[in-house]
Amino acid sequence: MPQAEYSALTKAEKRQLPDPMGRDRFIEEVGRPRLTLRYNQVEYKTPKHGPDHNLPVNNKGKSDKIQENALALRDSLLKMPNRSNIIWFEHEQYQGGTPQGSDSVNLYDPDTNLIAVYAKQPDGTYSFLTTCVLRPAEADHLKKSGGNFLTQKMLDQKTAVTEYNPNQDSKNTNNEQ
Amino acid sequence: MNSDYNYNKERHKKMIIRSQDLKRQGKNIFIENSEEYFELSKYEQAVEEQVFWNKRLEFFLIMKNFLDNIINFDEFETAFTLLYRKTCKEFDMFVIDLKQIEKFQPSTRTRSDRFANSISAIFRAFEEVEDEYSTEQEVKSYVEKIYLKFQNFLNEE
Repeated sequence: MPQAEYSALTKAEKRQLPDPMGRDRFIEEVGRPRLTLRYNQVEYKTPKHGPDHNLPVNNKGKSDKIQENALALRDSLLKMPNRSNIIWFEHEQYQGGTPQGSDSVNLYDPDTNLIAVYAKQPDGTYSFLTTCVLRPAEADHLKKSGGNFLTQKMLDQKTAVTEYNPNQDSKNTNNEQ
Repeated sequence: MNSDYNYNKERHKKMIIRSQDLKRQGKNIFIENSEEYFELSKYEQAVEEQVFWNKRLEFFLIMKNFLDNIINFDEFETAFTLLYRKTCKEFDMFVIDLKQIEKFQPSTRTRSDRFANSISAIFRAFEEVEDEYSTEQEVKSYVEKIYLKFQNFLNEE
């Protein structure tokens, strides 16, 4: 990629570039959208969300941002489709109905309330954005809405929330995460 | 919590047993029967509220220290995250423990806002800063709003 083009990218966009060391992985399930796990994005989310995947926790309540942990998080995400009761919310949303909203595929394990969000990219592919363990109210909203993951902060800002209406096309087009 | 349902302890215990039985069979209550799931979820959220409310003084001390500039944003995030994760773990243990549920009574507090949700919302705000959707100052304003909302209820059980 030309330097000028690279420099114009946001930090979030740079994290979605292919890893030159070959640490990216892909979830390829028959009949499902192909999901991309970019190493740089996984590594970025490791400190805050490593604990959600049972990675070691340091004295700040986070997982250390080291390759060993990032690879462990990547592999845990990679194995999520194998969980026995996994739910694929396809063509759904992350923070749908808010300015941060994006179209996404949300993989959700109802046994543990663990979710992984794969945001739609400008080229139409889905790439890992974030993961966390939902609180009960977030899990309720996800299920009632048919797959729109709104974080508790957004749920509390009720004016920003659009309740699920299957007859209403409220999909977001802003996918710049 | 200002409950919008009648708490039924026997039903609550029955739902926990049902959920655990399904789990042992490799099944999930939401997938098997969503009505039962949402009923159990109401009970679980009442428990969650109580577990978080029991920690209110610790959460408020951290929030006050941040608002009074005694600790900076990073120190606030660390202290808050540690307490938040500890409280979530307590909830995870409590919510499946029938002996604890036997002793549990939902709060009769008059305010309608849920403390647990507000604390979770602050925790989620840290990620907004990381993703550059919010600034540290915006988080501080948000924390202040929540602090003011609940400070008059601190002495309620």
